[in-house]
Amino acid sequence: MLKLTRVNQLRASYIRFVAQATSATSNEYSCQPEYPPIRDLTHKALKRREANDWHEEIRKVPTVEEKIIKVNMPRYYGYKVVDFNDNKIPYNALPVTQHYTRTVLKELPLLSADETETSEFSSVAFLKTARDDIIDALELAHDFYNHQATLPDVAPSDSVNRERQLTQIIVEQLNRALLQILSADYPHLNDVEVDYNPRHEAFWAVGGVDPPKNVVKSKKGRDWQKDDASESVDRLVQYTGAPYLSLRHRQQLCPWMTDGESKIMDPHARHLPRFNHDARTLGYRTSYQHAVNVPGYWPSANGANFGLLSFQSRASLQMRHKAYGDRDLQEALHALAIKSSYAWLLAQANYNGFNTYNDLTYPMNTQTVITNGREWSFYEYQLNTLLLHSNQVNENPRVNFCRGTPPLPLYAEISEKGKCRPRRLELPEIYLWEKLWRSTIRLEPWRRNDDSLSWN
Amino acid sequence: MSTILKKCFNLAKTVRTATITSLLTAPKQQWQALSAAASQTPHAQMMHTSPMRHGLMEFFDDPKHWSENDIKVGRAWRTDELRIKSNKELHQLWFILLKERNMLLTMEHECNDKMEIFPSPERIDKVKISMDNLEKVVRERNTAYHLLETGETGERPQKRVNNAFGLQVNYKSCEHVLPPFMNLKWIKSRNIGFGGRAVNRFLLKYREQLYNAKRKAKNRSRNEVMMILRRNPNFDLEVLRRKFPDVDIDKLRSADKARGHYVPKVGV
Amino acid sequence: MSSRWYPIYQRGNPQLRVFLPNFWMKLVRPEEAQPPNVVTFSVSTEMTIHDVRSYLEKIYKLPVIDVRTRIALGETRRDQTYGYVTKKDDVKYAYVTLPKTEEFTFPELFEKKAEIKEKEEKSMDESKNGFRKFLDRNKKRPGTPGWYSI
Repeated sequence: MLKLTRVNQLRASYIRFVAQATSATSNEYSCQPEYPPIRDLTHKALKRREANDWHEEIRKVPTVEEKIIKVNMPRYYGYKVVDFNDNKIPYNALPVTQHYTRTVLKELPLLSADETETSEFSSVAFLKTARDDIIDALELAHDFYNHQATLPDVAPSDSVNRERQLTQIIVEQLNRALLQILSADYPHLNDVEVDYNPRHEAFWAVGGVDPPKNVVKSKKGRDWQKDDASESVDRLVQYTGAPYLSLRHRQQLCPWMTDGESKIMDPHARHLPRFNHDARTLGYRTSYQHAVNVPGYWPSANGANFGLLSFQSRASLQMRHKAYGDRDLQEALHALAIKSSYAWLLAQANYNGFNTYNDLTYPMNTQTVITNGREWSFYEYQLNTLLLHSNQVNENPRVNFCRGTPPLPLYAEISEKGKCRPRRLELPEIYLWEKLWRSTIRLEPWRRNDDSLSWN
Repeated sequence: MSTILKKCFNLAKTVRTATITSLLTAPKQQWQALSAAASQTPHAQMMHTSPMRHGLMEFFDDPKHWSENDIKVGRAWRTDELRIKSNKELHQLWFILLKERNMLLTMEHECNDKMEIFPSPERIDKVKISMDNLEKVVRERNTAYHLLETGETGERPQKRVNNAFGLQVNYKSCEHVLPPFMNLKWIKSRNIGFGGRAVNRFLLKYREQLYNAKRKAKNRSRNEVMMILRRNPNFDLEVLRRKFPDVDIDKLRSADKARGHYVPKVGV
Repeated sequence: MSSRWYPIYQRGNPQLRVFLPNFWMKLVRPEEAQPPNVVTFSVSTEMTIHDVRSYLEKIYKLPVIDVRTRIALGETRRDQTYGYVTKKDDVKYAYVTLPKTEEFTFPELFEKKAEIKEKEEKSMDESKNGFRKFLDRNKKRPGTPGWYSI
């Protein structure tokens, strides 16, 4: 028996060898000559190929940490990045924010009072109880804040920090109250994870920015680069932010734009602004920093890895000069919403295996609330693409979407006795995302290009 | 008359009076509304003025001067002319001169950048002289007012004090939040007074130098007088006395060196 | 009180007012491209952001949105022969943002200069040629006055 199997093995290998030998001789010649593809050997094409190879290498690296290290390895002192933080929003920052995040912005109209009442959400019975709870939470928050203001060690001296302190208390109290009330009817809220003052950071590359003076000068000095002297360059961006609070869940929000709507060939058709100048001309700063992506939590295999909602601060906006105009605050809020949403989603996507050089395979969504305790603006954001670098800024057909409301007042005032006088209590608006909640397919964040992850 | 002068005379009286007075009274007013009001002032149409430029173009010269090689302007304002102006007029003129200077500096900078010759660079000096004169006149008026009201000039008080090297310097007083005896920092930083062996030796040598210089100057003038007298025995003594007041001319006349190389006529 | 000597400011005092400001501001061409509503000024080094803002608002009646300043270090240069180091003065630059509806492009001051120069050179050449012709004509009869010919 043993012998027989041995003979069979030998025979099989002989047959394989003979077959290979004959096929080699037969494949050596063909009637049509087959040339290798002609490669473009210009300097520009060479550089582009090198970059593509590098991006491909990053994509192939198995774990997220290694990917980040690979991006950071070439630079000992880090990259020169535009400092995009949530405190600094210069005048006229909306175009640059839209360009740097490839976002189309849509302003939602304000719902009038009777519309709010007729909407199906406000007719729910628990709104009555929720209303009382919210008023209680607000009054409690103000009481606590007033108590803290009397303590010399805790009370902040400047108005920005005072607003921050008050809003932090209000947001925490409201969130606690709403989760308690709503979790009875929406069981998925029991699984929501709450992060207090999380750290949100994101790093990405933006193409289509005019080259700095020294680059132009050095290129003009070389004959063979003279024509490309004013070719646009990449700018690296690092976002740093700390929202008051963020909520996340195992499952993610369902997209509100379809795949077809997210693809456009002509960016001008969608009013996608371009800001070709250096961001420093607007008042942004640059610094040297390593690429950092932090979504505010440690991702785990089956944990709550998808952000639902973040509460951003608008305390720094109160320091704006009154010469900026009336429209300025609204634009600054839009800009803040766009960049904080994009950055948070990018950081989340990073831990699902994507980064600024490797595009998403499915859309991601989040919601952002910008508040100072009294005024609340609500935004929804859909992240469709992460590719903004080099000429992707012109070629990439996908864009991201953001839509939001102007600031809505939650209450009219808090009386001196600490009684809250609610003004058109916008509960449905605050937890608007309850309506949008859908359980979607389970995504495998760690594996890319899987069939189950494909776009549709 | 120069462009500057024209502007000063005409504009100060008519158009810019309106703008500047409203500037003083209502600084928060919008610029468009303001300039519109100024152009509607009836006097502006009667007087011939150089065209008003608005906003940032005020930093540039009249476009017809851009490619000129030479721009004709008049002289600077003199102190006497400024003395007969009212305070308000001087105030207006100051801002006109200030704008003119900014314009000239801008044009000069751009010319230097573009490797062109800045036409009539003396314009900057003329504006500077005018501004200096104007400030001088304002200062005179300030002083007169203070003397009348308080009996003091109102100038910044200053006195001669010795510094750490024992040399005299001008010490300009300034205001402080704290009174002198409490202001330790000021007491330490001021450090007036000197002493020590090194400083005394320095002062000895320094004074010797000063003395030598003085002595040499005295000898030099003495010698000079003697040489003059030797060459010109009949020189006008009054002129000499006026020119060399420190030298004792009568004594030198009989000095040996002052005598020429000839035999004096004795007993004639 | 002289015009350049101000009392010390303490909180609660009336705001100090400068009656004869002697700050200068130059409008300079920006070194790098910037949005059309941003203007670069070179200003007196002692001017603050608030000074720049009120200077432009009050004297030039400009709607100023935002002002940012920086002090550019003057160039240092070593002398080729003797090796001593010279330094140019530091310059303060103010970047002034106007409302986004405003647009300002730095004018080209010397566009027409080349044309005028060409024209002048042309007339000069013509007169030179005329004189040369006159000399050629009179070359063979030295000493004869110019009017003594047809």
